[in-house]
Amino acid sequence: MATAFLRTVILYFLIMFGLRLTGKRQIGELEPSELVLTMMISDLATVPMQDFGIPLLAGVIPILTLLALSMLLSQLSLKNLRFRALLCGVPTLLIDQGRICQEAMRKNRFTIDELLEELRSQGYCDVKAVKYAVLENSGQLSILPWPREQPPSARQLHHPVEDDISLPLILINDGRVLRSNLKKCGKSEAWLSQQLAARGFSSPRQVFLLTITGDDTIDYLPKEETP
Amino acid sequence: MKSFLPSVLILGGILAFSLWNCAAMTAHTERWSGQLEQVAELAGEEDWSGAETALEESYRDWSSHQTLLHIVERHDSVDDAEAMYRRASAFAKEQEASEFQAELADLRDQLRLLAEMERFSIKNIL
Repeated sequence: MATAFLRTVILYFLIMFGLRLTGKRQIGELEPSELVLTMMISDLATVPMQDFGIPLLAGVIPILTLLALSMLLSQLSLKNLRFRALLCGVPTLLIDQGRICQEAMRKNRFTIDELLEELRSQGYCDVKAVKYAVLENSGQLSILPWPREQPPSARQLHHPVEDDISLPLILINDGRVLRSNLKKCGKSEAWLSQQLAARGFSSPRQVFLLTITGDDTIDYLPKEETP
Repeated sequence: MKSFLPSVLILGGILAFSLWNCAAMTAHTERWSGQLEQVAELAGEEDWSGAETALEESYRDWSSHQTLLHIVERHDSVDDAEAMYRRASAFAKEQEASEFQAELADLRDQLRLLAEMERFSIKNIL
């Protein structure tokens, strides 16, 4: 049992570390090669986890090899556009200027039913409403409707708008002061203590979340008492 | 080029380890096989105490590499060889010449297979 426990811990951390190195993307956004890599690694890891007759190294070496190869190929694809196209493929236009590209659909084995299903799932019941539909490398379909089918933007209406959007910066997270963010927005701990006192808090520990926006607007959420 | 370094280092490290493991396993199993050949010769000359001592020495040498063997080899293959060593030792004590020689031949074959499994060869790859 101790063997199973230790092997599982080692393999878990190895895979987590390895997948962290390969990138941040979620399963739903994986490209085919990345999905295959993830499936192969998970399958390889389970064998030495359950079968103690197989050395741990028999699982570790293929996993490390796959991760290193994947890193190498992604670095190569960053450096060389042709290699990237070969490894990841290129996005394909399935609808171009409102016209369904039947040849591209045939090449990608994409049926008209699948295309209509994708369009419906993104809120378009009529093919005529779509100007471009791009089949991405991840297998997802990106749809760009004709301008007449979209709500007009402020720019299209020539309407001046004030830029009042700024990313809130977290200064207190679950009672802990994030000093790096405090420094980033040019504030001191003394200023934070002052702000807390003004809101009736004697310590950052009493605050669950406190954020500041670009125009110095502070939003906060007091910490609830634990029962 | 710097960005390729981690993956190339990992792949190179794995390849180097694999080649070292192949060479080390071949060297170890050839040494154990040589020791067993000597044991078989001694038994053939009816020197049973000499054969028993030589077999014990070979077993001690084999046992001192158990950790490495269990790290790189399938455990059942290592356990089979271990059982053969023990059976050969029992036959040597009983001075059962034909059984002893047959067991030694099996053991040497098993040791050859242990090295064979780690070798870079078309047979193994395919």
